[in-house]
This record gives sequence, C-alpha cells and structure tokens, in this order.
Amino acid sequence: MKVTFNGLHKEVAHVAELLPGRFFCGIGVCFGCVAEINGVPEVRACRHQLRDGDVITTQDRQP
Amino acid sequence: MRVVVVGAGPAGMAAARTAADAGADVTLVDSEPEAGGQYLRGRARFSHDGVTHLKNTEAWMVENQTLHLRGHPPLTFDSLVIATGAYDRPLPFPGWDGPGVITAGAAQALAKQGVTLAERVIVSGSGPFLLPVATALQDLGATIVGVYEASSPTKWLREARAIAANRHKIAELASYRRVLPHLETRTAVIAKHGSRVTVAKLDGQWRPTSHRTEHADLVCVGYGFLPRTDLVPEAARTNDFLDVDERQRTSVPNVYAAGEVTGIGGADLSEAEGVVAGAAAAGRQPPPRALKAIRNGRLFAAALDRAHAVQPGWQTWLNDDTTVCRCEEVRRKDLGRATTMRELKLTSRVAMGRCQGRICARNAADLTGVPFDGQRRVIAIPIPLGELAELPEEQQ
Ligand SMILES: Cc1cc2nc3c(=O)[nH]c(=O)nc-3n(C[C@H](O)[C@H](O)[C@H](O)COP(=O)(O)OP(=O)(O)OC[C@H]3O[C@@H](n4cnc5c(N)ncnc54)[C@H](O)[C@@H]3O)c2cc1C
Ligand code: FES
Repeated sequence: MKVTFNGLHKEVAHVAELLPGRFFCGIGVCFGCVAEINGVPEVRACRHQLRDGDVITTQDRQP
Repeated sequence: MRVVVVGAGPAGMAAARTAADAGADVTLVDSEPEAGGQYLRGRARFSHDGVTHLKNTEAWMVENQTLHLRGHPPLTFDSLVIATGAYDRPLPFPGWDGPGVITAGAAQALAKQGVTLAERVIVSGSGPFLLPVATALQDLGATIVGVYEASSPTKWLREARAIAANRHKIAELASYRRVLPHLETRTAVIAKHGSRVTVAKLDGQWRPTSHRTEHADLVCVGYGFLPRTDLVPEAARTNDFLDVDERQRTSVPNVYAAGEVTGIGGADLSEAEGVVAGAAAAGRQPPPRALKAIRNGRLFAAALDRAHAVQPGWQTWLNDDTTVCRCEEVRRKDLGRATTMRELKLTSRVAMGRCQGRICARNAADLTGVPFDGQRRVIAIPIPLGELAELPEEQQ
C-alpha cells in the first residue's frame, strides 16, 4: 500500500509497520496505535483497513 | 423478546443463533467488519434468520435496559448477552515498550492478515496459545528463534481428570508439532535492547536463575488473558472474570455473559456457553449437551489456569526505570506507596491514560500490593468529547 505517513511517502503491507513501539495489542484495546487517518482524529490504526492513498499522522503525545 | 448480544466471536454467534431459534428478536453488535471474533477473525460467514448483525459498531455503555453504541442509535433489550472476549496480558520488562515488542494476540491477528513484521521472532509467555501463534508465524516464513513458556508443563500430568474429559484438546497440540523443537519451558524474555534479547531460565516462582543473549527483531508476549468486562463495571467477578450461574446469568439483572469474559477455555467452551446464554436470554431451558460441554470445558480451563498461573517472580525482571504504564509513561519507581487502586492512579497517573488501565492496571496492582479492583471504568471506550456532546443530555 502506498500511503503518506507524517508527510512522507511510504510503501507498507500493514499499518503496524508504521507504528513500531505503538502498535501493541492489535485488537483495539491498548490505544497505542491512535493516529489521525484521512482527517479523522483519534482512530485506532489497528482497526483501520489500510488503502492506497491513506494519509496517516501521529499526534503529539504531549499533554 | 428482544435480545441484544455484544461480540460476534464463537460465544456471541452461538448466543445469537440460539436465541433467534427460540423465537427472540436478536441484534448482534460487533466492532469488527466481519463476524468471527479473535479465533475466526473475519472468516466466519455469519447470517442467521432472526438475527440483525450490526458490524463496525462498538458498544460503550449499558444503562438499565439500554445499550449505547458509537455511531448508531441506542438499543433497548429485555436480555443482554456480553460476549466481548479477552485480550493478552503482557508482563513488563526493560524494553517492552520499545519497537519490536507486540502481544502474542497481535502477532496472531497480523498473521491472519498475512503479515509477520520481522524475520527473526521470539514468542514468550505462558499458556497453550503460544504454540498456534508460533506456528502461524512460521507458516508465513518467519524464523522462530524460540518459544519460551514460563511455566512448567509437567504440572499437566497431575491433571488427569481434565485431560480425560477433553481428549480433542490434546489432539489439537499435535498440529503444532513443527514448533515444538523450539519450545523451552521455565524460560522467558526478561529484557530487550534493539535486537539483543535477554532470555532467562526461571525457577518455579519465575525468578531468573541464569541468562543468555539471543538475537530477534520481534518479541511476542502473552501471559494469559484479561477479560473485556467494561460494559458491566458493577457485575460480580472473580479475578476480573465475570461470575455466572449455570444459565450464564451475571449478577446484573437481565445480563448474561458467555465466552472468554467468564474464563479462558478456548473457542469450543466459548461456543457452548453462548448456546446456554442464548437459550436462557430468550427464556428457554438450555440444552443438556451444551451444559455438559461447559462442565467438561471448565475442568480443562481450571487445569490450564493452575498450570499457567502468573508467578510473582516476574516483578524481579523490571528495574526502577522500566515502564509500567505505556500511555502515561509511568516507571516502576514512580508508583510510590498507595493503599488503594484509586490512590495509586491519582498519585502516579498509572492507568489514567488512553487505555484506562487495560494493559497496566493489573500489573501495577501486583507490583505495589494494592488490591486489584477489577477493570471498573464508567465508559468502555474513550469517546471523543464531540461525540459525547451530541448525546441527549440525560444519557451523559
Ligand atoms: C488477538 C487474539 C487472537 C487469538 N487467536 C486465537 C487463535 O488463533 N486460536 C485460538 O484457539 N484462540 C485464539 N485466541 C483465543 C480466543 O480469544 C478464544 O479462543 C475465542 O475466540 C474466544 O471467543 P469469544 O467468543 O469469547 O470472544 P472473541 O472471539 O474474542 O469475540 C469477541 C468479539 O467481541 C468484540 N467486542 C469486544 N468488545 C466490544 C464492544 N465494546 N463493542 C462491540 N464489539 C466488541 C470483539 O471485537 C470480538 O469480535 C485469540 C485471542 C486473542 C485476544
Ligand atoms: S494496537 Fe492496541 S489499540 Fe491498536
């Protein structure tokens, strides 16, 4: 899949590859993988079916 | 009779089918795009007369006879069946919060989508679930560096009664024989720095007795499972699993529970519990065959539980700076001295982040000696404020 991740073009088979150290439980429980996907904030990336052209942005975790 | 079932895994599908066959008007709510739950993961083609399947829909709160859903109007019910399953319990060690560490369940879920993430893989934890995970990764071409089981399986030999009643379960083990040469018992990953992984031999309490270094890009961890019980925070529970009677009734009126929210025993026990819960929820007598399957399955589940129970020696794997709570980056030394879970959360911020303690609360309680109060949260999933604001006022 060709996607844009934090402004960079990437080619990955699964969204987990973009989120090392954050993708953890894989089933929507840990919220480690939360990102903005195609303009929607606070999406758990592990529950998103990745498609060509997706735009993924990880939010700053600062309070 | 309106029956609502939450969770479309083996338990929820069986409950929905059975309740519909008994004449109830059934809605099956599930967060995933397809039915199947963790075991079948989208490979179940579920469709049944009398059952409306709401896909991609998360339930977040039960209020009297109403179930609140995300992105869908609330449902009212006469009976509710909770079949939300469970998730892996990780144990912390230095490096577990860095890249290249995921849960065994995550590895299994990825494998079912044809993805392995890495070449050299270690599976470390406790319980029979480690074997199918390693097998799935190997089938996809990963090199299995090791499958480390912290417990000692000789404990199994003392469980003759449970084994005799569940021969099919033992036969299942044969399908994992290709990974058995990689299996080491009384062994665990106790640290990971880059691709250098510290692997320790453990004593009966899981304290390290010796260690060595292995090289792996991915470590998959799972020390049993924790139940997803947050829809019924007030329900009675043992060790966080929901208590049910012989008809799968919880302590909350009109609320039933089935599958791994009540205890870990595999997909077939989950299904049998679903059949009983579905019948009871629709006001029927549960079929005797399902009741018998539950009795046998629970013997096995109890044996598993005894053989693979987490032992306190894991607490020596951490150092002062090891992360306990991933969301709020709380280290072991930040935990301080508290006497209740509430005090512990407020003083250290452990379990106060996005996951609301699902991953860390149990471990933090064990590390501090604070009594674990179960996963009692008010809201099952963190809801963006905008969505809450859209709710009619009396529902907030
Ligand atoms: C990630 C993972 C992978 C697993 N893989 C295997 C395997 O390959 N082989 C094996 O033998 N066992 C596996 N297991 C063990 C497995 O959980 C059980 O054997 C079996 O699937 C339990 O059935 P269940 O019906 O109780 O729950 P589950 O199968 O877990 O089904 C529960 C369903 O409820 C949904 N759900 C949960 N909360 C909500 C909510 N609030 N709103 C809406 N829907 C919700 C979940 O998304 C899920 O679809 C796995 C466990 C996990 C956690
Ligand atoms: S990886 Fe845990 S919620 Fe997505």
